[in-house]
Amino acid sequence: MEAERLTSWRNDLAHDGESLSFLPLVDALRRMGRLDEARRYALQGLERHPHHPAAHDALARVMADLGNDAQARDEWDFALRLDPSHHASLRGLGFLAYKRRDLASAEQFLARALQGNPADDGVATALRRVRVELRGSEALTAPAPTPAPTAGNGATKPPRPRVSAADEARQLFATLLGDGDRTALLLDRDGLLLAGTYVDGNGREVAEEVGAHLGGLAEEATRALEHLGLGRWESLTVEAQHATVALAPSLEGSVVMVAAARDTQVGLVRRLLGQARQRATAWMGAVT
Amino acid sequence: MTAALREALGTLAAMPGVRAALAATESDGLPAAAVAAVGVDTDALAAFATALFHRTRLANAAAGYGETRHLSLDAEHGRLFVAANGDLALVVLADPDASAGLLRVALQKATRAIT
Repeated sequence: MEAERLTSWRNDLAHDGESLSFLPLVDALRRMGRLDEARRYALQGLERHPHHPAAHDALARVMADLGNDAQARDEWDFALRLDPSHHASLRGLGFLAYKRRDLASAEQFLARALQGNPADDGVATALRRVRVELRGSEALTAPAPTPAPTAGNGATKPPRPRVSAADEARQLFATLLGDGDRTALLLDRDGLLLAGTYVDGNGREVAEEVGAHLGGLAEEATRALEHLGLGRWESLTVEAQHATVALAPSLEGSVVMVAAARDTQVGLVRRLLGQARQRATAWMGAVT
Repeated sequence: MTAALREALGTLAAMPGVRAALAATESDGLPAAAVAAVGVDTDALAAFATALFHRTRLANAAAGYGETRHLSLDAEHGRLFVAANGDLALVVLADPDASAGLLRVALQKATRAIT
């Protein structure tokens, strides 16, 4: 049980202030969304272990979840000064760079992270994504191509509209969702946004925020199923007061999420999930 | 176990494909009552199902979706359904081909019945 593990780590810290149990404790609290508590333990741990890269990484992750990217970046920078190959910090800085659309830096950090740990599928996927977008932005800034050949009747063939990779990712599910109050996102195994968009009733883009909260459910579902011997999860449907949310696993540990207003039929939400999952699988395959 | 709860669990457990129906407190994950087939670990089922529901409740609240009412998890070897009434969660474990629609409605009725 999660509660028992939290108690055990807290006890470790109470008995031994130098214990590194604050690292899993902070991570667990962060994943549970208890960010203030996580930050408190992370700061206490950092006071005791100021030269431990993992302590800086722990605080950085909490700050990133709190939306304080500047401090998260400082902590990961510091961790890299202590250990230039620190994987989690390279990964974190890569994702932060991607978030602020500094694709060149994102590529550098993610490539270094992948070099240190080639088995990290999340980094591999993100790096592919960044490289596709970099190619897209290079194409957009390249000199204009020569005019298209004219058709036999002398009319110029209309140029195909060029869509950047970032726009393509944002619009991945748009044609599935229609005009209703529905949204779909593709999240990586850490709940970071890969594709889709989500604008709330106030016009605010909340995809990353919602993804961070709901992405962790996949991990909890996997853990429950492992212990209950029910095999791999196929879908998770949740009915809440204002929305119905459905999630399903996709390639490389990623998760597809569909959310719809509460008055949308649950069966329709599940159907949309199936379609979104197919589209996400095809898109990720194409990005590979 | 109250008569209403006993009857609700009995009704759920009698539905086609259901392997276990139980009530557990969401706050500590302990089973309060259970009707289960032989071989189902009701302690583990209560603990993990309520933990997942609790985590879902937090995520939904944080995402602005409000109170969580019902959850269903489809897996390779079974289906899990959870609904809550206050701190009491009703959990149903069923075969993969059990009717999700029927179980959803039955669970909603059962949740109301134990109020």
